[in-house]
Amino acid sequence: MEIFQANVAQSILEIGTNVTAAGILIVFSMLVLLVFVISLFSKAMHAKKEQPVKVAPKAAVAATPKAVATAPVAVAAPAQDDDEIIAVIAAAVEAMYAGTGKRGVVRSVKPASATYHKPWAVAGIYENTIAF
Amino acid sequence: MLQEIWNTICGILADSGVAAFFIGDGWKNAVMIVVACGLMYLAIKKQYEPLLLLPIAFGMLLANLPGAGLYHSEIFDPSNLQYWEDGHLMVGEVLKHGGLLDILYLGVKLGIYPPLIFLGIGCMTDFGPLISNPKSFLLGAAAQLGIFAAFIGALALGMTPVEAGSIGIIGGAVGPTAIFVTSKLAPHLLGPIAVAAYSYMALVPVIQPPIMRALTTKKERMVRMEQTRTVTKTEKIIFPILVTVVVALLLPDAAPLVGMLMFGNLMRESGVVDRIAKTAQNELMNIVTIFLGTTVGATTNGASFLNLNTLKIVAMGFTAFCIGTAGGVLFGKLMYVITKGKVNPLIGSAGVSAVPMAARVSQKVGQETDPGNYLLMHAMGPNVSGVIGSAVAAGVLLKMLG
Repeated sequence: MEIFQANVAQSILEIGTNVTAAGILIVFSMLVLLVFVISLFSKAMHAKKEQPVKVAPKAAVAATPKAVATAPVAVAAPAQDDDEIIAVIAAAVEAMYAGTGKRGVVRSVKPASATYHKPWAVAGIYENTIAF
Repeated sequence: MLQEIWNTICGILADSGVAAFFIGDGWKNAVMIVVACGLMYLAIKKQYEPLLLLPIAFGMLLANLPGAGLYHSEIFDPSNLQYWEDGHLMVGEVLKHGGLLDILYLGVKLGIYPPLIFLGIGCMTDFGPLISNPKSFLLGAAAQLGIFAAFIGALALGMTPVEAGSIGIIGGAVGPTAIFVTSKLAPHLLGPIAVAAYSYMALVPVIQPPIMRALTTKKERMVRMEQTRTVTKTEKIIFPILVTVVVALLLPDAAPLVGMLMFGNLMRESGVVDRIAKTAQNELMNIVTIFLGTTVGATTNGASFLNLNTLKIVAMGFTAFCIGTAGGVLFGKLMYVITKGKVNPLIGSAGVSAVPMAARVSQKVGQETDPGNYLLMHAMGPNVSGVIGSAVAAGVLLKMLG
C-alpha cells in the first residue's frame, strides 16, 4: 500500500514536472517564433518602401529667416513633406499676426521633443486612467 | 372537508422548494442562494467584473432554487447513461428533456461560447502596440508562469492532473480561456473556477501593485520608454493571419481560441466588414456573455461549491496571479538589463492578461514614481500578447491532459 502510494505520488510528480516543463517551453518557443516571424515580416515590408517618404519629425530642419507673406520658406531639408509643413507653419504664423501690423519670422523649425504627446493622445490617456 | 383542505395545503407546502431545503443536502442549496446574493452584491455594488459576475451569480441563484427545473446537474454527469453514450453527451436527449439552462449550457459543454467571446474580444483589441514592439510577446509569455505554478501547487494539494490543469489556467487571467479548458478537462469544477477567475481578474488592481513595487527599484520604475513606431495598416492586417497560421499549425488544440481571436481582429483591421465587426463585438458578444455567465453559474450547486476543493481553487488562483505578476516583472527586469535601461519592468506585469486592467495598473504604478510617465500604450503590448500566450498555454494543457 505504501509502495503503491509512493508510486502514485511519484507519477503525479512526474506528470507535474513534464507538463510544467513542456508547457513553459512550448509557450515561450511559440511566442519567440511569433516575434521572429512578425519582425521578419515588418522588416520585409519596410524594405520594400525605400523611397524617401520619411516623416518630418525624424529630420531636424532649419529655415533661413524670412519675412514673406506667401512664399514657402527656403530650407536645407531634403524631403518635399518638410517644405509643405514649413509652408503651413509660415502661413499660420502669418495668419496669427495678420491685422496687427507686425510680421512673424520663422527662424527655425525643429521637431517637438520625443516625449511630446499630441493633445488627442493626452486626452485619450487621461480618459483611460481617470477612473483608476 | 376541513381535513382535506388542510391535507391539500400541506401537500403543496411539502412539494415546495422551501421544504426541499430540509431534505437531505437541501440546506446546501440555501447556502448557495446566500452565496449567490453575496456575489450579486460584489457585482452590483462593488462592480467586480459585473458583466460576467452578475449572470454567474444569478445563474447560481436559479439553479439552487429546488424544484425550479432550470438546470439538472445529473444530465451532465458522464456516468448517467440516459444522456451519455461511450463518453459522449447525447445532445438530442438533452434537447428533449432538459430545462432552459440545460439547453443553453450545451454551448459551454460543446466549447462554442468561449471562442465566440474571443471573436468579440479580437474585434475590440488593437494589436498595434504589440506589433510595433514584438519583444512584448516575451513578457506575455513570462506572465504565463503563473499558470504552471498554480498547476504544480494544485497537484501538491492533491488534485488530479486534469483538475490541476483547470485550476492553473485561472492564472491566464482570461475568463473564456479558463471556461474553455475547464469545461473540457474538469467540468465538475467549472462553477468555482469561473467565479475564482473573474473575481481575481477584478482584484488585479489590488493584487499586482505590491508585488510590482517589491520586485523593482525606483530607478527601474522611472524608465521612460521610447515612443512606439506607427504600425501600418498592412501590418495590422497580416498580423492576425500570420498568428493564426503559425499557432494553429504548431498547436491545433489552441486553434479554436486563437483562430477566433485573430478572426475578430482581422474583421476589425480589414475595415471592409464593419457591419459584422460591430455585431461581433456588441450584440453577439453580449448574447454569448449572457448565456455563458448564466449557465456557468448554474453549474454551481451546493455539492460542487461548498467543499474543500473550492478553498483550494481560491488559494491556487491567488497564487497563480501573484506568480504570473512576479514572472512578468522579473522578465521585464531582465529585458531592462539586456536593453540597457530601455524597457520599464513594470510593463511586464501587464502580461497577466486582464485586458485592459493590468495595463492600467502598470500605468498607475509607473505614475506613482514619475507622474509624467505614460506607460499605458507600452503595457498594452504585453497585455494583449498575454491573451495569445494564455490561449497557447490552454492548448498545451488540453493536448497534454485532455
